Amino acid sequence: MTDFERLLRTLDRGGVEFVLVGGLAANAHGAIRTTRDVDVVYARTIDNYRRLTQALAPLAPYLRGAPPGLPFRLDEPTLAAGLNFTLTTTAGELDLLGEVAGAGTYQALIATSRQLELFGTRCWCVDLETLIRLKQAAGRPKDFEALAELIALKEERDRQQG
Amino acid sequence: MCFAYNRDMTAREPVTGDAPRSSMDDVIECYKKDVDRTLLREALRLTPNERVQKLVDLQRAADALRESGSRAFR
Repeated sequence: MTDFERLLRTLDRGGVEFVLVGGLAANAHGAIRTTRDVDVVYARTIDNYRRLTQALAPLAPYLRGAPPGLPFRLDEPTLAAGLNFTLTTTAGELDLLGEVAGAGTYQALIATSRQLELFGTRCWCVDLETLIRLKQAAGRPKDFEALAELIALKEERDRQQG
Repeated sequence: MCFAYNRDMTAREPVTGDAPRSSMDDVIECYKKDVDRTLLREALRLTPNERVQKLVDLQRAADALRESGSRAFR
């Protein structure tokens, strides 16, 4: 089981610039569906590559689903050369996304995010409208049920807010 | 009456005779009928932190159940 608290705390304490997206963000907004990983969009800057590398090193990040023994190291050159990384760590599954369809980069997402306190950690979380847009842009049939739930959630929230 | 969201999800508009509507909208509309809104309303009464904490509790319970199931059927 992924330790959401530990992953978020690790990123926060490491000073990593990131925005929470995906299933955990949906849960923070009130969605009911469960998730097994933490999805974050990280800032594509040299300083942030260094912070990510240092923060995650104790969690032994490795490519999820890859055979053991590959010469993979999550370091600054790797982050600079790649974009999206689906990782397994000693705290569970973590997806590092440099860019997402429908919203773009960290710089674009931060404008539609708000700070939430989750597990005692303050982190930026994408707003519900953007989360819906991301799911729409992904356009994957496997996301249709989740998308329907997010739209229903937005309707319920808007109704409550009048 | 049927409704569709515009592309940037900022407004809900009634679907009239020849309004543009994608097949994805129709699929989502079908799935929406099965969403349990009582659970969503309950979740909206909680703080974000309480919501994610509930997710963790649920996952712990599911893992315990899975573990106990695999022991029982070993």
